Amino acid sequence: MFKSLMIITKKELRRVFTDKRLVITSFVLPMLSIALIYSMMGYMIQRSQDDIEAHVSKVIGSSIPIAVIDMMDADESIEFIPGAFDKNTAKELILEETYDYYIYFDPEFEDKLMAFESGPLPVIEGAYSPKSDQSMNANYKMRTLLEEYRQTILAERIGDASYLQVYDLVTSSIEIPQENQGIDRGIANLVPMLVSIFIFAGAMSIGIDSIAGEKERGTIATMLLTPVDRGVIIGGKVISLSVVALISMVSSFIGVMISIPFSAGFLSASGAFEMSQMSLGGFDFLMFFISMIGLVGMYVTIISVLSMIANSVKEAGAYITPAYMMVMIAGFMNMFGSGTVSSMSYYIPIYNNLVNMQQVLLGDGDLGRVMISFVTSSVITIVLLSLSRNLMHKEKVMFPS
Amino acid sequence: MIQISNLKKTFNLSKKQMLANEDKVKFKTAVNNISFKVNDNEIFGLIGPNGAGKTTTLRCLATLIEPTEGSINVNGFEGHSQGESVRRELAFLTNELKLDTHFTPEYTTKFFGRLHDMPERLIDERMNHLFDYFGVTPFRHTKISDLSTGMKQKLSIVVSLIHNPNVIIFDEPTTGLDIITARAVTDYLKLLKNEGKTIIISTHMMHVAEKLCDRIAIIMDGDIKAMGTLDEIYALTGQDNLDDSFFQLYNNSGGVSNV
Repeated sequence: MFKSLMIITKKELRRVFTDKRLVITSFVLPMLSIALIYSMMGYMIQRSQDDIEAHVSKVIGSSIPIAVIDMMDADESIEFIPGAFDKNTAKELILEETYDYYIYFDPEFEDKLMAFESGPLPVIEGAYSPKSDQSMNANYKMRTLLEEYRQTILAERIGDASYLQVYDLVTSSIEIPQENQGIDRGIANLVPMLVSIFIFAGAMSIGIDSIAGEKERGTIATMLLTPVDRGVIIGGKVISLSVVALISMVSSFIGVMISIPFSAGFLSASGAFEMSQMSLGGFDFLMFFISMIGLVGMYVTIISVLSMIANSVKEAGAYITPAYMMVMIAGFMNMFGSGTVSSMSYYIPIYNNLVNMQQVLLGDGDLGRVMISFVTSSVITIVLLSLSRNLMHKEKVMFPS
Repeated sequence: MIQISNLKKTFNLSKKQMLANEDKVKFKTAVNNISFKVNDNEIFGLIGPNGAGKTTTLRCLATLIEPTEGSINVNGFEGHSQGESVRRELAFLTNELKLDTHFTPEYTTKFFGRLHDMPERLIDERMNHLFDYFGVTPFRHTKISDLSTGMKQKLSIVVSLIHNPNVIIFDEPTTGLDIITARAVTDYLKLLKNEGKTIIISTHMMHVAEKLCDRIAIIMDGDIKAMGTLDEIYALTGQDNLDDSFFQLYNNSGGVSNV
């Protein structure tokens, strides 16, 4: 049985690796396209951020106190444009992106400021455009500036600015021990989702052709005439598909790594990531690999079952697309999760392996939890494999016409 | 030796098929209680129109599908319960079975030889012999997708025979072949018969059946309408050739002859 399994596995792998077009579309193109897309995204995002930072915010307003105008003049990133603007005209000009921010002070601002103990508080209104990055940045700058202005007024009221200083707050990030330093949080959130999607995508394209395609072309039926058990035939296909999925994932991942010099800005939480910052040991890689194998087993058998049921490549594609969506949802759930993981999560297929991968990357991997997830995944893989074998024996599945 | 006893095969119909048939019958009987025996050293012909049940019978025999009722015995092995042993004994060739066109004839033949658990040396010997006989040798390293239709058909024959089976089941073995290659195939079947093999062919070509088969079964609507040597069939139908005998039986069974 093992010999036949190896013969079929080798044939399936040969089918993939001797087909130049398949190698290019399954391994080379994903790597290059991911590297290119991520690099371009990183470059564009960085350029956009640089543009926003370099932009001098144009502020207009009414009844602005001299002190505030002086503060704006002192700030090189803000340019105050003098002029009389009514509120509505000013808002239109901001929406048109002629100016970035409008600030309106109560005409009796200074009087009300002086009579603060008995009268109503003076009002300052600010307006910005939510559709313009420059305008939103101007809003942020003006809020900071007005807070500074408020501190100045308070200091004048109290008479001594030092009265406002009630404590010195000193904060620092705790130094994480070397052994569980992990990697950047942003990368740790993103990588499990990418790995998961890359594995599924890699197995999907070739799995559909290897099973539904062979059924459609009649080549699988020729193998059914050999003395080999049908379970061995599907087993050989599943093993080869797992190898292909892993290679495809690695190739796609290399694509991400190539893009890091450009994409670190948006991939990592700190905005800068270098390989040298990684602090993962051999045991971490082992736990990561076990979690990955759990995913590979499930994905490949899901694809096998759905391809078996389908009568054509087209039909298989239609069946597998919803499964792909589920894989993506699981990835997003993990990526945008709150970070709190209940013990039951380690029994939820797919999600459990993603959580483990994330924790390993953050330096919090636990072999016990990894093994619980692996066993859960293995049970499902075996059930799906057994279902595939049973489907191979079903006449309606193998010979639908 | 092949022994088929009371073979029956029914297929459940889908709702779409039931609607197309305009009745409420939920299944179709493709083969209804047929029995026949094929001896060693014999070529047995199955003749019948499309949908008569020939391919279903052959599929059951090759263990691709399971009979609803009845039994099949191939050289002492029981049909479906000893499927692996049965498949070791037989070669089954039909147009529905295809070879992966990405590979070369040599790789494909070796692959199937290995699946039959043959030693590499024996695979090479058998392969070289069959390649030479069927003229595949010059194309042994050519991708199957680049071969002509006839060459693909010949390669399918080679692949099906690589393990030197004792029982050979060929569904339309000469269809799609040029006259020279068709002759090579029929000659090879005669050779195999002389080696003591048990052979069943299904064909639409009456002249092929007349020249090749020791005995013939004419099958229609899942039933065997006539079975015997050519002389026995001629005597039964009162005709002097297989073509007319076939149409005689076809018309008698309610079919409409267009001759």
